[in-house]
Amino acid sequence: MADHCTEWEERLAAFLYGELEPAEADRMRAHLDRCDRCRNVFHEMKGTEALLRRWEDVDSPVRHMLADAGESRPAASSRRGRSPSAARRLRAALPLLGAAAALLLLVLHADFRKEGNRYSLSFGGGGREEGMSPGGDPAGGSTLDEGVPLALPVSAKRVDYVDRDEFFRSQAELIRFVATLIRESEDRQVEHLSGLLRDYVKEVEVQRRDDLGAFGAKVDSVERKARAEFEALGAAPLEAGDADGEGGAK
Amino acid sequence: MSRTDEVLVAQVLEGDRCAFNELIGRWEKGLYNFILRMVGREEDANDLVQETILRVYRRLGQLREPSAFPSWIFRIARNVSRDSLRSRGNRVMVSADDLMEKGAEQILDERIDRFQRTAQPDQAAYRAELGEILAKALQTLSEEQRTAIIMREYHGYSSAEIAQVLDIPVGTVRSRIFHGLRNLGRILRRLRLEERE
Repeated sequence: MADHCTEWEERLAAFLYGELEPAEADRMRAHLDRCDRCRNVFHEMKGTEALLRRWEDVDSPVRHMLADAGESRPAASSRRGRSPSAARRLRAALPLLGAAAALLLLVLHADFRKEGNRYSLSFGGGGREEGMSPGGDPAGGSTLDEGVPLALPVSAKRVDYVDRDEFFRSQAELIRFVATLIRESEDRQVEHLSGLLRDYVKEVEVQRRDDLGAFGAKVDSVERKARAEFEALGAAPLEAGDADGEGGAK
Repeated sequence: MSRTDEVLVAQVLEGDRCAFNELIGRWEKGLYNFILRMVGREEDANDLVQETILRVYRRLGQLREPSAFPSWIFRIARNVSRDSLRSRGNRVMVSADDLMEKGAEQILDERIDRFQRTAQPDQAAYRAELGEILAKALQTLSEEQRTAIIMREYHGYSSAEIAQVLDIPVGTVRSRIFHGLRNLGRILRRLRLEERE
């Protein structure tokens, strides 16, 4: 394009899209009639534009969480058009979210155990040993069925705007997360109980040793006493082992 | 009677999320196609549309003129696309030379030859592959030129309206469209993909 045509450049685009005022468009046509270079440039642009036009719009594959039709959903006064069935599912999942948060608390700060159908929960360091008694420690613990931890995250007021796939992905992740927490919690409980069992076995072993020692001492004492009484009667000293009674009186 | 964008915006701001659904439903397809052409990759476009919708939702309270909602969401979509392209860095940006080297030219030529031999322009496969090639070609433009061309060509914005959305002079918009179309024409000619009469 010649230097003297620079002034037409901006207007060529406007002319192509029919944005010039009629008088200015006439001047442009007159210029294009005279100027081969500008005419060639214009035709090139026109060809490019025609090709671009063939690239048609496609439907959006994005389905956000309110986009699903929800005929089964009860009508609400503020609800028109597509109903947020996915949103309903998301709301329904909030308790699950609460469970995840509660379980996170369990893993990080709290002690959790299941007794029958009852889940007891003790926060902080206290209550481990106390928790071994049935029913746990009412002062140091809470229970899931009282809804204490479940209520925590439900206070989140706004739900982010997500598509259905992302929603289900996030739900799957959430479920996996909760499962992991439960698994970890169970592992912790198994570890905890195993530790207690080991301690108990040790205690029993110590107790058994102590008892055997005490019993042995008692037997020794009785034996000494019996031997002394027997010797006081003027009998010959007993051979070792006779005190067991197996030899009987000789 | 359908509610106007302005009414829907007001209802969303009053807490009616279903109004937001209706509002976005009107613009979702346009946003998706705008972003798809801006970034050139479907997998990115899906995520970026979501991000755009989130930004729209979060910032709707900052919209001073509800009547300007369409321009506003396209400005957000443009910013989201631009941020994504920047975060990609140069490794994904396609230059004209990139498009030519490493057999890309041959691959594209083969496709074009195949179109010319067998396909009719109205066939879906032709349109899909044409879109793919044009997406790559558009990526060779500067982001400014690409934005102006896409808004003008596919969304019916006049140069004056684009100037308003992008907050730049009208002359700048027309200059970007002019140079963008010329650059695009050069690329497409090198690919021998010119509009057939």
